[in-house]
Amino acid sequence: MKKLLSSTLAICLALTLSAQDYSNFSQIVQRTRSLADKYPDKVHLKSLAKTTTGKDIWVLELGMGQTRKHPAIAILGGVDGRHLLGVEMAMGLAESLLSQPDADSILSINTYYIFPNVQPDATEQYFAPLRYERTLNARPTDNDRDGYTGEDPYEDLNNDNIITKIRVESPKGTYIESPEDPRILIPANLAKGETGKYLIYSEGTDNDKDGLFNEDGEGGINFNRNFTYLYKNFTPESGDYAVSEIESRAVADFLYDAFNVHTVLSFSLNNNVSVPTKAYMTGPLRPEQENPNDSRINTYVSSLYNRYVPDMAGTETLPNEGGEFYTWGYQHYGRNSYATPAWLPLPPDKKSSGNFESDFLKWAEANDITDVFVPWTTINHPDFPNNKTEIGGIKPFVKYNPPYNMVPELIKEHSAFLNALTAAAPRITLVELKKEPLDKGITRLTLIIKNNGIMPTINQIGERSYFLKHITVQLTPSSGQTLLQGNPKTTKPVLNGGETAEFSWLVQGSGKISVEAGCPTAGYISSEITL
Amino acid sequence: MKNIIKYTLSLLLSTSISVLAAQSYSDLYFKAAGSPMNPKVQASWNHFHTIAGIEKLCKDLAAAYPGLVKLESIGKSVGGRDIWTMTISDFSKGDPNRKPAMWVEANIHGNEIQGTEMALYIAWYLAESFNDTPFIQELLAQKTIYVTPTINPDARAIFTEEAGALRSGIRPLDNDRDGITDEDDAEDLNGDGFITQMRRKNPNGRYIADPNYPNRLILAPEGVPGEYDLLGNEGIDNDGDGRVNEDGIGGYDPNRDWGFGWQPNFIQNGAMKYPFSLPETRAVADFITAHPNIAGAQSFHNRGGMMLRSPGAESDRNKVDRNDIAVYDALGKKGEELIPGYRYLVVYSDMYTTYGGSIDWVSFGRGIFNFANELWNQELMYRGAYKGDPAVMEYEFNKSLLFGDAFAEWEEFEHPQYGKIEIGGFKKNSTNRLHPGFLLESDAHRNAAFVIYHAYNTPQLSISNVKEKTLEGGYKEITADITNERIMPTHSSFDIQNKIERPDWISISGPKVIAGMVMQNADMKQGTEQKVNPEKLAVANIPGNSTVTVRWIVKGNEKYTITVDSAKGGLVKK
Repeated sequence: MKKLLSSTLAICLALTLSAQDYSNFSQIVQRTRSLADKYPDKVHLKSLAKTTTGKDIWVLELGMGQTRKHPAIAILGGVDGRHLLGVEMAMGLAESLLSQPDADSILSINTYYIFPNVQPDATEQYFAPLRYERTLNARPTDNDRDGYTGEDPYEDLNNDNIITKIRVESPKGTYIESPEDPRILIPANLAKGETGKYLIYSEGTDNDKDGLFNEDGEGGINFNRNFTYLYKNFTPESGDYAVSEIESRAVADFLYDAFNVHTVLSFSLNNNVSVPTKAYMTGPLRPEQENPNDSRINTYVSSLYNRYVPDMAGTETLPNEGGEFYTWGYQHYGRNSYATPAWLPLPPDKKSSGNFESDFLKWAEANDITDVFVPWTTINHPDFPNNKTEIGGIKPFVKYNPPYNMVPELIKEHSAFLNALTAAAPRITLVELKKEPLDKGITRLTLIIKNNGIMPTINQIGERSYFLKHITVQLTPSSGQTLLQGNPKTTKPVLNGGETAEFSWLVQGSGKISVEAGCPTAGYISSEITL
Repeated sequence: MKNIIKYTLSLLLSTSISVLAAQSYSDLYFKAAGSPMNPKVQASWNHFHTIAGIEKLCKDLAAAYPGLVKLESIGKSVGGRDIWTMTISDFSKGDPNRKPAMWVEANIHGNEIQGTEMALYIAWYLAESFNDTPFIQELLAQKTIYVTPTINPDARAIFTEEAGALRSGIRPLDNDRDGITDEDDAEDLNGDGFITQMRRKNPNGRYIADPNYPNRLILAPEGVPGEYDLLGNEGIDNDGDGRVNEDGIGGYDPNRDWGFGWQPNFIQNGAMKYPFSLPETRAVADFITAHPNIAGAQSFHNRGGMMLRSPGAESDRNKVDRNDIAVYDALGKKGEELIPGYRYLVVYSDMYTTYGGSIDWVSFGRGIFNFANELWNQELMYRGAYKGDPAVMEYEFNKSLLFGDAFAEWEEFEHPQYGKIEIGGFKKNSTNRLHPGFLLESDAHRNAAFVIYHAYNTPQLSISNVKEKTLEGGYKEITADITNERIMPTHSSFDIQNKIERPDWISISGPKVIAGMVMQNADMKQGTEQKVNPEKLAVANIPGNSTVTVRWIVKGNEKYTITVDSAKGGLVKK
């Protein structure tokens, strides 16, 4: 009884909290635990690793029966530490998958691996006494590679508990006020006859007097720069080598062993889904080579996304820096991989000005969202005793994370998209298992299977990687039966969506003979026939 | 007094032992130049070491020379075996982990086993030669050599204790992609202790026995009926898919698992999931990262008689610049002289592109000058004296110098899928890849000399020409030269460009420092001032055979100490 009460209380607490603001790490843990408690037959909760501060990297497996043999979608939040919304989306999708009316029928043939937050030490900065946008985990690193660790962090110069920017009027300045919105600074453009007026830095002082501000603060490595595709060694956020971190290694290890994953859906500031992207194969010194079958799937998935999440169409996306998770998902992990921020601000006319900050401020104004900007205020700054120096700027996190009351609707839209994505999964079905007697005691046995999904059993890039499984057809004769033609085990690399395949054997003998066919990404069928 | 008694006692004891023993070592042997006389740890170099043999030799060296050799396990393999590393240095002369150091490892490819003997020989030779060889005493006073005889102990155990030979490690990999791992390995069907070849008599076969070397099969000439089919490596179809030996143990390449320029398996065959996804490579990477004093490195492979350097991949061709090439050339060309028959080459341009190899991570990921030696070359069998058909040289060598020992004679076997077959062929210890016993020691010594030359030429820093000049108002100008006396710089060019290792710090303690600068021209007062912390000057590099001049303006007349603190160049004070 006590337990029931406390778990009810926890649920109530979680609900109340979640109704107001984004969930912090322990609230996400509570929400995952309460799902595991509420749906013990459908949820399997596992901690993959602990971060350097002892926070678990959780994965929720949603599914029923032989979950590892059902087509699976992996869903990740927290890929970008600035993106609290991503954590909320992953968690919210888990909750809605389990509570929707046809949950049983979906989860009995599909599996989901949901990572609510792969980088909790970064996102937790939103809830810390000093709030700033953080992309780095908590492993102490020497980000500027000068031999000293963490010697130049942010400083909250105006004691408002958030980190914004400082701007300095200086003859050395290279920025000017934006004509779109004078609160925003943009680089002066000589081609337009402009010369600079302002220097702009993050809020803080140059502790190590190297001319860079706050370039070596707390942490760490950025999960979304630490993967192997186009990885760059030695940049401030990427570290010394790819997949060097507890978080990235835990996720990669888990996913590589989850052979049933056909699609990865990650929430970050990257977007390759509201506009369809061309799928291509590339490598060092190799020209890009299109994988047309995979491009077709991307086109279809984008059409689904724009149908269910229309507001994302036309939004700006971050340029790739190398080492991103979602590009790894396709290029190296060899799965369909989609990333979206789930929400981005657009001005009322839905046309981006090309300046993300200006778009954001226009959106905020149109929607009566106040309290998103710290007005520029003059301060005395030790590094600039003779220059007018001001603190101000857009508050941390608000650009990428809408007011929480918008989140339920976003989850609803993405949940509909996820269901459509699930329906497109590769799925092996039995067309027929037939026998044709050739003579007394000798039978030709024929199996026809079909991939009834839209997606291929493995995509074109995955076909090339030995970590993805082929379709296996395993024939099990009963005693006294002999195979005259064909092998007990046959493999076939791939079946595209809608494609069929035929296998046949000559069997001598009578009695039952059974066959199982399939692959982890598309599920298995089995059948039996009496000869 | 106590000491004298002890000493006399031990003297008496050792005398009595030599009296008791009928004949002492020196009664029996006369020193051959360059080889240890009367070694405390007996070792011979005409066989290969098992895992137990490696462990025993390492432990015996550490026990016999506690002042020179320390043994530790730096990690465990997939199969739970220790990866042993010896730290070799004169422990009475400074912290071994602060001396410029050399890393030596071998056997990453499980079938390339003789590198282990090279590594063991280096450790044994250094320890056993220390007492009577002043050069080795100087070397171990200045330098540290980390020796890891095998970084793939699981595959070595298979090679030396079982019938098979495995290039990869034993982490299961589903090579045939059927959902089951390692289910169809080769088998020693006839139980002779070696996986060899299968052939079958067939009047329609493509092969006949070579009339001169009947064990050898050759393609039947035009118009001559064939006698045999070749059926591949010894084994059966274990998993019923109609293929033989298509999914054996492991089946990846641990030398494509390193963290620079890594590429996935469909671009670089053999790659695993991501850099250092194997415990063996990770153990090595963690050790090297934790020992920033490692300035030079050597790994041993087989075969081809080559000393290879980076880049491994053509896409990295611009990452070794002129300055670094000069260092490599100085070492590599010396190597060609020390090891006759070995050529100094570049992996990508002289061989082929490989991604994610250890030499690229060591040189570009860590800024360490390193070579991979491909040990053994079939040319070494006769060194040009053989004038016959090159295609049968190994058969002839086996016949005339090994008296048939390297070949398993063909013998009949009833195969479940192929019927009546014959099994035979060169054994895994043949001279295809491995030295014959009688040539192993000389190659070990020459390769050791190359490693010693490399270790000796890691940066060696000294402080000299300290000059003082009195300035007006109680100020003083102090100028000092920091000299690197050896070939290698404290930072490679690629390291400097990417700030891989921290800068060298040249600091002064004692008086109050007003200004500090690194001089380009000390006479003309041209230098670069360091505005913050002038007492601790950060210098990007101290090149080989070069001098860096620093200058401070200080106040007061206190005594001072100048310290050079370089990750790869060591710690020097004056």
